[in-house]
Amino acid sequence: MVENKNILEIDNVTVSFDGFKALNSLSLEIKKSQMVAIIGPNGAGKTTLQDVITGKTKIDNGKIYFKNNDLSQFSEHAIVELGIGRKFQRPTIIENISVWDNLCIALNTKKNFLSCLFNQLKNQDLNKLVEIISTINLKEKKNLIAKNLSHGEKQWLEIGMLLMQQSDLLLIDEPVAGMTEIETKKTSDLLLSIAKDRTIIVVEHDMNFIESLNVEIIVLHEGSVLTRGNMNSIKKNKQVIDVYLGR
Amino acid sequence: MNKQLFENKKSLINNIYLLLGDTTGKYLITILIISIFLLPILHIYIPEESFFHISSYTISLLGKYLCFALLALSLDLIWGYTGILSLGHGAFFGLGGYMMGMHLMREIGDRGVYGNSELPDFMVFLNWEELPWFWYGFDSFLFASLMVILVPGLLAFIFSALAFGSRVTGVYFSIITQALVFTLMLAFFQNDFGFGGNNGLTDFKDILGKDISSKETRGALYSCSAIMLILGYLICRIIISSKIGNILVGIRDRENRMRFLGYNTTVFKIIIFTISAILAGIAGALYVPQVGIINPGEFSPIKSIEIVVWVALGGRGFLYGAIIGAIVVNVLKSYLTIISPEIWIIFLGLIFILVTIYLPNGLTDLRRIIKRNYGRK
Repeated sequence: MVENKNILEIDNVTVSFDGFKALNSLSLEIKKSQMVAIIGPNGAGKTTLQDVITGKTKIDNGKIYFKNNDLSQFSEHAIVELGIGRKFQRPTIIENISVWDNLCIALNTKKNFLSCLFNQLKNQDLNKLVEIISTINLKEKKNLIAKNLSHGEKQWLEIGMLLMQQSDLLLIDEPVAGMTEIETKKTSDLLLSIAKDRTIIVVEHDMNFIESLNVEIIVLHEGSVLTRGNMNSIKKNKQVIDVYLGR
Repeated sequence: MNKQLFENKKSLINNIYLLLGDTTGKYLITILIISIFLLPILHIYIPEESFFHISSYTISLLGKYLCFALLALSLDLIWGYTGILSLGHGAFFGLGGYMMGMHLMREIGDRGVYGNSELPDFMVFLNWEELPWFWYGFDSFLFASLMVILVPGLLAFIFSALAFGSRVTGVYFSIITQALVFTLMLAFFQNDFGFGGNNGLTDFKDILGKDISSKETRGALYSCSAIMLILGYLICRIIISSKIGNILVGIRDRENRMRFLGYNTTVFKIIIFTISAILAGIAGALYVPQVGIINPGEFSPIKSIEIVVWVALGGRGFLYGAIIGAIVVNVLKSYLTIISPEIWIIFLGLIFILVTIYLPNGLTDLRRIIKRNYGRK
């Protein structure tokens, strides 16, 4: 078998809710270590697409392959272990423990009672923690209780927790919603810096933010891919202007 | 480069010191350790006329407070840290007490009212011919001690496995814990259930061959209570200062997120609930020889709710808070019920309301308020 450069292959997937087709024969390939942005009007199927990839929603038709595994064979939990991490729109960090502890509990070590009771951080784990807390710019606030972080910092911590799980594919839903301009800039730097050795799918409405990422854009419309390409070609595309940008 | 910043170089001594936790916790444990030796000495060797003498009433009372403190501690582990409100912790306390009571009944031997060396008095009274099978083995102190741990532990394990396994949480879980303790009360009230009916188990004579009302025994029982409280505190601290402490807070605040991170939260909750029940059972077992009686009243739902009040008043989610809460409320109770028994319950309700409004973290808030207003600048 030829080596497959696509980490994720979505093949002719249809999902319908009470007759409404949220995804309509959608096909999509994402290459390894590539960052893409998904845009589209409300109801285009952006959230449903993330739900089917993470196994939250079952598909009616078609196949999804991740690293050549047929995802319909895996439960939600097992998909996390395969290496797909998802960041929801709202940060879901543990508010009452410190930034450092949040990252520690996300570390992918043994997670049964006894090994947690006698847990000693190994050197490699420690290095990883230090590396990630530096990446997400929260090194100075490592002992701060997480609820005292700003909204933007909480989002970064959430991304840090995803990184701790060592996922190969990250789904990131509206990372800059509600962020200040400076926070938005820092977030795009953060995403670009972690994109080097991971595949990232960003779903976002903020066109300026997507432009600053300078990545390939996939436009969804009515449950299927309208077009894909870089910012300039998207901006000139007549169809995209009609259904999304123009409005 | 900045590795030292994150490296925790700990020696063993340092580890133990850190384990004791915050300053208040350290003071509390120090006081308890001193009292292990000091109080029995004052009780046994200081003549009764002396100002420093501690009467047998007082030392048993103090021992009782420490048992309640251990009970409060066990509830704090499951409620304060894991966010699971048990309104039935009296069940495990009472069962532990009954296990010890059964052994003390067997130690009476033929010195009961009926002089029957085979059967406890209440069984003779009920015209029973022979000892029921579930009383076998309780002649042995070791067996009874084992049962003190096993019976509450096993009940808690099965109960919580059923409840958490079927994802019963929040207020629904609290309600079924009330049902559990209520069921036990009704069962133990029955004469033919085999545990002495509503009179319970009493008239104990000896413990480990020593007269149960002698000064030495009372002193030793106090010391045992203090030692068990310290051990219980250390066990809780080991758990919550390990990674598990953070996981429990995670389960309390966002259980689904913890599942998504790959933790089997159900197993964690079952284990913590069982540990908590075992601590409560040990508290009950130490309580019974000091008060000299165990009856189904311990299973009354009100008593279990009172435990929650102790923890809430002392400071939920702070181990020393639970200990202080249990002691403060029970000291107040001892004095106020002497003055006027009717006022006590109203007074308890009143301080509960006031503390909930003005000190959301219970008495532990006092320390912060004092620090803020009079602390070093």
